[in-house]
Amino acid sequence: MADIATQSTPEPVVRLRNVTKIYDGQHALRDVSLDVHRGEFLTILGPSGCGKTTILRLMAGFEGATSGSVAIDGRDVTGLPPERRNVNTVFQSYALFPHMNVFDNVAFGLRMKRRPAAEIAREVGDTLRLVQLEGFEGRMVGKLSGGQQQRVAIARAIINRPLVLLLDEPLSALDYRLRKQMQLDLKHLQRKLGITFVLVTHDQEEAFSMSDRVVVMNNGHIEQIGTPVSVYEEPCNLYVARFVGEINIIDAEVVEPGEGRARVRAQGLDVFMRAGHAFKAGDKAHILLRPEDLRVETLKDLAEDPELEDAFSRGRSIFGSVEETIYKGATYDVVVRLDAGGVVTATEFFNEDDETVYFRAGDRVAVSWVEGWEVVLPYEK
Amino acid sequence: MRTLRTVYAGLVYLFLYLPLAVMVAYSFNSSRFSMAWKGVTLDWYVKLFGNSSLMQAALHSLVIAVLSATCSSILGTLVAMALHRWRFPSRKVIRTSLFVMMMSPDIVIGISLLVLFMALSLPLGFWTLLMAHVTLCVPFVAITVFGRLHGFDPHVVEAARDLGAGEYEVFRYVVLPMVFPAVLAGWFLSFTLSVDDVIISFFTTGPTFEVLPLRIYSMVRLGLKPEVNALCAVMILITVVAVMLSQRFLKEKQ
Repeated sequence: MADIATQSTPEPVVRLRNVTKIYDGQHALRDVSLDVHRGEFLTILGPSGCGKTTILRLMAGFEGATSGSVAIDGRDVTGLPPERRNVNTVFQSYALFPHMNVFDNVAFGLRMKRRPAAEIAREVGDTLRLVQLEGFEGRMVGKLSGGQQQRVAIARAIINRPLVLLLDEPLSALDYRLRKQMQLDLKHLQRKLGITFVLVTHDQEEAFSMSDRVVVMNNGHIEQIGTPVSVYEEPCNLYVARFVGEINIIDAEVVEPGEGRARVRAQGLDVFMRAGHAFKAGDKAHILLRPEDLRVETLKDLAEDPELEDAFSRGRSIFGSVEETIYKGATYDVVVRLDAGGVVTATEFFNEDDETVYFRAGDRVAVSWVEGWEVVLPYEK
Repeated sequence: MRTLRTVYAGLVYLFLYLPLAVMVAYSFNSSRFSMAWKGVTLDWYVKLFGNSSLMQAALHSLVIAVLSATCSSILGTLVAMALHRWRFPSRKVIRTSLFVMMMSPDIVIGISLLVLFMALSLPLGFWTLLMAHVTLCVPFVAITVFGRLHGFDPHVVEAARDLGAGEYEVFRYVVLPMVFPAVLAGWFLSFTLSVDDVIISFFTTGPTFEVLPLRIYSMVRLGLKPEVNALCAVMILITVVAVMLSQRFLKEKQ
């Protein structure tokens, strides 16, 4: 029944249209439009103060938009108070009721709906089992650990079967290991319940590992929306590229624009590259390369191994000298100063039969990558 | 160094509590007129409880204290909630005026109330005294409750609304239970303020309604009697109990 309804209504579960929010003369959001699809795990990613929490509060009804509209389940909810919206929130501070025990906290929503006591008891039991807090019913919430409080907060929200669960940096107060575990638990919970989750975070790793789609925000507007893979591998501008991971940026000039590709000149290269943007001849551009996509070989090795040299030159290689190597545990970074100016970092795995770092500072090297793995973007100041 | 500190602390306590200790001790002294120690007796306590006009005044004090504490707890809590919840233009003025009321000398409050009651030609007695004590106590309750409201995670109220609670339910099931310890602490504070107030009561009550502190004041004017020592000892006991209870309620559930 629910599935048929979901399929026959392609309309988004939450729709923001041209939403602007001004606090004390400051724009928290500028003309933001966003659709949340039914059943997806959507993450809003951005640095603090970028407006991501404001989006959540607009959906929950704690704030009203200065202009624009918010619709939930196809219905405009402007002016509808939080208690009459079918969404629930998990707060960053958990905001549990300190004078109640676990049972009363979780039962609160159903009691407000005046459900019969027997039904409430059963639902609370089921929900606590779902978040692995069976037997904690009688505990005061102040006596629980951070992770347990977190799970009470989640149970208290999902027991109401909301259309959308809003999570405001729910894992930021937990230590690293617990956070990893909760990320998995949340993901599994979302799949099991089929509820739409909208999560706000500033942690790109968290966003990537949990979400179906990621919304990257900056300074009150949306920079890019896409799957984790597309946001990471096809960032639409330098801000997104930098925010979602390490990136090497090489300045370049477009020599000859083409369909989906462009001839680009940089660092002694003059080759065709994949380019999604419409360039004109003479435009300045950036070539973006992730450290793990780069390959580094010493010129000595290349000279001794024609096969390797052949493979390398079929890609595109830039020359430079190793400046330093940085040990990272599973990998190491090679920092290369390019002959034509600029520095790039390449992430290398340890060689299976040689567990020492291969490169030495001062080594002459060539840096290369697989054709098509680069991203060429218009020049930004 | 350590002994020095202990001695210093001891001196502070001595300075604060020696007079009280002396008075309590003398309430058990069997000598009527002199300050000389003539042995231990409970006579003054027996006399005290046999003195019907004194007991009458004590009852009046108790009634006024309970009523004014209750009224000012309700009013003060409402004031605190209004100040906490809404951002209205006169908000700062009201907050400041609460502190002004707490700081201003009792004699000023007493005289100003007297002038007001006379202007309204209200007969001095039970009602005027009750109003005066409520005026005295409301700021103390409001500040105590406001302090607690301020310490809350503001998201708790939002969480309640998010889970479907309307304005009334938020108040009844979330805000009130959370501030209740502070309200109770305010109640005990008001109770003690009311019980031992002399100056404001002096101006705002009439001969029809005598309260204990005024009665003691007139008794002492005719010479120090051991019954007064006994009475004060009892009042200290009540105050200590009230303060301890209010501290407990404030500490609980922190």
